[in-house]
Amino acid sequence: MARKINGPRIATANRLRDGLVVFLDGKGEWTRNLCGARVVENDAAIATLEQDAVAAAKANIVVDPYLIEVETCNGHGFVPVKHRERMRMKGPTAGNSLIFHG
Amino acid sequence: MYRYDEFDARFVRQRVSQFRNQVERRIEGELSEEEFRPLRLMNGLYLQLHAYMLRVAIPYGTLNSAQMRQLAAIAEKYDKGYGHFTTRQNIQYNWPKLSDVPDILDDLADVEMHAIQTSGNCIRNVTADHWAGVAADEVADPRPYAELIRQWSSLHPEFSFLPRKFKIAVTGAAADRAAIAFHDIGLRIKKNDAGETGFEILAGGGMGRTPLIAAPVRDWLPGEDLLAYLEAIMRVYNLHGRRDNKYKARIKILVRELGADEFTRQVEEEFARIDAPQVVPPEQELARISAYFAAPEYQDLPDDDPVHAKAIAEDAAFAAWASASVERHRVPGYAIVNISLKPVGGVPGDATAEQMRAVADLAEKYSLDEIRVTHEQNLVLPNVRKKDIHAVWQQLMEHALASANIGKATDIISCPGLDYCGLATARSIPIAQEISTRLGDDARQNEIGGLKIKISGCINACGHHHAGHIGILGLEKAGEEFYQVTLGGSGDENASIGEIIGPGFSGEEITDTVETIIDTYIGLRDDGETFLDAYRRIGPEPFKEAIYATH
Amino acid sequence: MPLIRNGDVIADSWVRHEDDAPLPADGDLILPLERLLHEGTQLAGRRGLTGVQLANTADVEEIESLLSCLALVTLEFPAFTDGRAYSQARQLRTKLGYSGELRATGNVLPDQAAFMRRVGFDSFEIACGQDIETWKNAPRAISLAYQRGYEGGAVTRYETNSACGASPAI
Ligand code: SF4
Repeated sequence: MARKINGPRIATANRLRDGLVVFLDGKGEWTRNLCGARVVENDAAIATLEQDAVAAAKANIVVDPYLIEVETCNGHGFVPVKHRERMRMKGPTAGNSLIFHG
Repeated sequence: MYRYDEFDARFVRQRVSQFRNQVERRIEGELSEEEFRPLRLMNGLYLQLHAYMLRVAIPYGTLNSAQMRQLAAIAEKYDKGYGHFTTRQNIQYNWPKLSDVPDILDDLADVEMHAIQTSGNCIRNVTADHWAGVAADEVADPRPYAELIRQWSSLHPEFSFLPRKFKIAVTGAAADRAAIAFHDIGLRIKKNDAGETGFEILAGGGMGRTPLIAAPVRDWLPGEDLLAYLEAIMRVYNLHGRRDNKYKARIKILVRELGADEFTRQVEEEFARIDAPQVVPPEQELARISAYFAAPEYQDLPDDDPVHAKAIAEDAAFAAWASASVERHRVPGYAIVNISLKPVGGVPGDATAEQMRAVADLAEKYSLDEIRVTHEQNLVLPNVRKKDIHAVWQQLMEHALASANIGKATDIISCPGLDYCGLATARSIPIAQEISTRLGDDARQNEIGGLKIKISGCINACGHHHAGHIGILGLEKAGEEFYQVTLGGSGDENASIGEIIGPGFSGEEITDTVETIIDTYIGLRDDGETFLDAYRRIGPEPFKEAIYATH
Repeated sequence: MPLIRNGDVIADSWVRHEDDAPLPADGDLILPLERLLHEGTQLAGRRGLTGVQLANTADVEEIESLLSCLALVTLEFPAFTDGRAYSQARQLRTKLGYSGELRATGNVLPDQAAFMRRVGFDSFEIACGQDIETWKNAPRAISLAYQRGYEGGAVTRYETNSACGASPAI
């Protein structure tokens, strides 16, 4: 998961039991809510975030964790920089999943 | 339809309990994700963009009503109440929990279904003509052979770790409704002058980033040699297919690099030395399987039904739907009824649990309990008496299943794309919806005529865009989705690969572009000429001019 | 490395002879393919048994003429996902009629043990630290098969549905 990126970032993964997208928050918990994600900028904090994410995968809480680059969105909150990550965060933009909340 | 005997039932249950054990070990932490991934993939369980996805095989596209009801029940119990029918006669559930998957597999086993080999570098679900056994133009029914291949390829000890995935399609008719030329192996059943059954064999077709039309390998193979010959092809591929580069690992690259003649020579050499009794099932085995596909008890009916004729004459909406959806059956008085899963503006291939149950009820009541799933993401009731068609239509309407667009511009194939798929580069569903909405007017669709639009969300081409009359490939550049257009592809017996028309278009432009292409065709076509025929006659230039002149 | 044969861990009597030194007259030796082809018929003079180590890119027909003097062939799985050796094994057993020991080496895991046995492997060189009990139980997870295997170990479809023969014990 070592990938060279710049700017603030957060850790994301899929939860082992149900596969849903989660983000690592400030308390070391994995949350479904991007707003709760722990955003880090300096090298030391990034290294810790990465270690925490890998540890959670080793502990079989999440699967395939990685860091993503985020940017501020009109002053309030953060959004992922990459298109794929924005889509992943938002959930499906079309289709029956929007209609059926099982 | 094939029914599991005790052997098949135990085989599938063993596989489920093996996987249940593996899932438990994973959740308990005894297996790491690296160790578990290949095991889950061999049972059709992916981790997609937002969640796990389970792909269930519908072997050669055949279902009965009990199976369809179970698919509906699974959608409600473990998912969000719907399923997605794919271009490979599978159904996908987008939201299962890992811990539920063993129970889902047990529920599937209750109705003689499974998810074995719907993923991984093995022989995938065998597909076939969705009108098998009922098509008027059929030489022989491909289903017994497809079932034989399904059994032979299930957990095959030699061919479970191939260089890459492997897809086999079978048809028993001259018209190719199974896209056999785009498969790793394509099989066409033939009869010789003596009335014996045999096969024409193609190999090395495929889509993806290197689309290729399969090469002819054998013009005639006696039917009893089928498995031995498949084994020879698989062995040559397993030994010599490239393993150094994932994108060059399919058999199509081996066939292309060796040349079709040399590839065929190697296969024939292997075949000549195969110990046939090791491979070939005893004759009674094929007879046992074939017996399940014996024609159902059709009634002796006149081909013309007065009730149906009257309904056609009196009800214009019914007549319009019937002309798109109803196909000739080989038995007088019966018809094949196609059900569109492409409501205008809807998601291609999705069906809700309620719709699945409605189709199951119709199959039970009107189609001798049979349903087919097509690679074009639609459903079929293969055995409807002509006098019942009107009643079927009325009930389809109640469930939003009566779109009169089979084979037309809004009968769009689309893969899940970036709304679900972890490999996608762009969305495909919203593009399909927008094009469908734009072209959805009945008069407009009739004016356009037969047209196949196919959309993939990345170069893997699950949406078969290379074989679309109009193909659309979603890509990404600098954080923006854009769409490349190909024209002139076809997946039928005159297969061709679509040609890239030029630079791509943004998501906002693509629908306009498709309309421009269609209008250009309408302006230039000869009387009664289809889009594909017109394109083959006039070539890409007029389309390029029309599209790029306005940009 | 532990060697498993017939469901038990056994002592490995074979020695890999990988350098250019002259072959000792005694002892069971595994030779690389080149060396084997080079020695050819002279092997007959040795008192010890001879085996060959084949890469998974080798054409098994290269050793066809020497099979009668070979007591062991090793085939390699560089990764368990690289399945070439399954086909080599099958060719050795059925096309060339080899009946000596056929050993799987490399990334050899219990999850694939049943497949390996069914194409003709009968010994397995496994990495240290693998659980032997898992190995012993592995072939039982799926005791039914749709294909006739080279070697039994599973009840096959054709045995249960036809008069081909009684089901062997699992
Ligand atoms: S074509 Fe690409 S985006 Fe579409 S389903 Fe296949 S892999 Fe996913």
